[in-house]
Amino acid sequence: MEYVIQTNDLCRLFGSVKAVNNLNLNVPKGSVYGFLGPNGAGKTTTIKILLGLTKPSSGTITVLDQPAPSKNYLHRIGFLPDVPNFYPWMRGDEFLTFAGRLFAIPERELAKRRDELLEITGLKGVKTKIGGYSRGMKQRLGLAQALINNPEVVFMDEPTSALDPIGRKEILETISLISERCTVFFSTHILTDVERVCNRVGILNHGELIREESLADLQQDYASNAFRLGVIGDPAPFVQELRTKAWIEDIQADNDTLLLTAFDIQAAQREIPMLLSKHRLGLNKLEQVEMTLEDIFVRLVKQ
Amino acid sequence: MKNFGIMFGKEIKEFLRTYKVFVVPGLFLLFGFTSPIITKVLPSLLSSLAEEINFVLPEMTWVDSYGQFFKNLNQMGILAIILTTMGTIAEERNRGISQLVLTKPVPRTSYVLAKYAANFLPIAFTTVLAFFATWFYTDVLFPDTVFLNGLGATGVYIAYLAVILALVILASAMTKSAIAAGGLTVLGLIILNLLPLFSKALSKYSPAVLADYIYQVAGGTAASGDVWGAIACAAGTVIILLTTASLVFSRKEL
Repeated sequence: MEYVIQTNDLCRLFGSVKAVNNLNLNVPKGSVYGFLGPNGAGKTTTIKILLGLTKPSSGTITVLDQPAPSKNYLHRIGFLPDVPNFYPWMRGDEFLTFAGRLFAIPERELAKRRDELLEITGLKGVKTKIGGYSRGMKQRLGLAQALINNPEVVFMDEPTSALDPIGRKEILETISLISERCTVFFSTHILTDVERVCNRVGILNHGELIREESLADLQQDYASNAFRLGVIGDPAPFVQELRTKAWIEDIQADNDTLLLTAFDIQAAQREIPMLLSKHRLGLNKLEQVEMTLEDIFVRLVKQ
Repeated sequence: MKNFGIMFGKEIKEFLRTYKVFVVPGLFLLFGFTSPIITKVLPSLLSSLAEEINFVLPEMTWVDSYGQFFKNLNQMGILAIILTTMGTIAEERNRGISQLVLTKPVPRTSYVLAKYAANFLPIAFTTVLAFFATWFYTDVLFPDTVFLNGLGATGVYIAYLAVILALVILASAMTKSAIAAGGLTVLGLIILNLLPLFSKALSKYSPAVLADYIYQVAGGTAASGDVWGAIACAAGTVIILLTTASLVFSRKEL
């Protein structure tokens, strides 16, 4: 597999706090990589290190085969911050022209690409100065400027976190569209966004990468050993006894619905009916479930 | 210096399309037009305000007119320059705009130097324009006005301005807040003005003494060797300040 971003034992300390702790990222070429983590997990710090905006305390980084912080790869990447800010006196098309010139794009090609991006982001014909843009418009302009140089990798730092549902939908649709031509490295804590557009995930917690694999594999791993159980009666004693079993991995109780994860599925399938009977509980649902990314994320972070 | 030209062009556009185009040039031109008039009418104005007091004022000359002009530029002008430029790097950093720009192939040195050049050139140009206005009215209102003295003094003022602006750029590169940058600039100015107290050479050539040489050149009493020496030191100071600003900003985390 060809990787466009790789980090090796990357660390970043702020005083005694390890914001990024021995991070080993491998982002495959062509993937839409969801860089997941709760607030304060170290996502933004990692992105800033990858972009050369912040220095690492230790470790090595390779972006597009170039060792960081050489910055030789800046002309091949795009970046969309969480809340992009622009020169308020400029118009959107002017900012794109300015950004394109920084990449030394020939004027004719730049004009064509600028118009195409304004069209894609729905900003074509907007003559208002950027100072008068809504947050969603700024985000879309941010996406357009991140793509002006036809980047091989686009870094996006929580691109949808500040948007309303319509703005989010528009940004996610654009990400899906551009994912056909470049790698997208996309940090977020909104799990549904990852489920919608990403095909690979890295889960970060307290600066440590706790899981990195394809979204399908991750869901497969967790789908195979999870059950949803609907019981009739008080499940508390049943849950208490379940927790003592060696084959049980995790139990999440929500009133009379239980989400069980087992180390040994056969043992679970054999013993659960007996335990239900022992505790005189009725059963209205027993199904093997595909866990949502949210379930997986909560479990991984809790561990 | 990659992309210096594009960054410089952007800064010039910003100067022309924001309030900045009105503040410093407007103020300078106002001083340019009004200084000779104020100098001319001040004695009669004072007499008419308090008729019972007998004012004995020396007769005002073209030297006083030039002096009034440069005094205004040195006080209000410098203050306006600091206020309008102190946020030039700090504010962009604070608002995250510099993140967008510096993740493109823009060296931080180009970023800093473009800021300096694009702030300095319009102000220097406006200073010359304002001087022409002052010279015109001085020539009309006062006899025997010497044009070259005023032009020379304008040159010395521009050299002084170059140092002040480099100081503002350094302060702005050091901090994330425009107000803090303004405070640091004032602190730098105080230090700059204390330097002449430390040695005879500094009292002749340090950039701060340029402020005194402006009046001497305008009046034709300056020793040209000392003035050129101070200008050379000012150029050196600008280079040191801007190099430091580039180095400081290159190490800043955005």
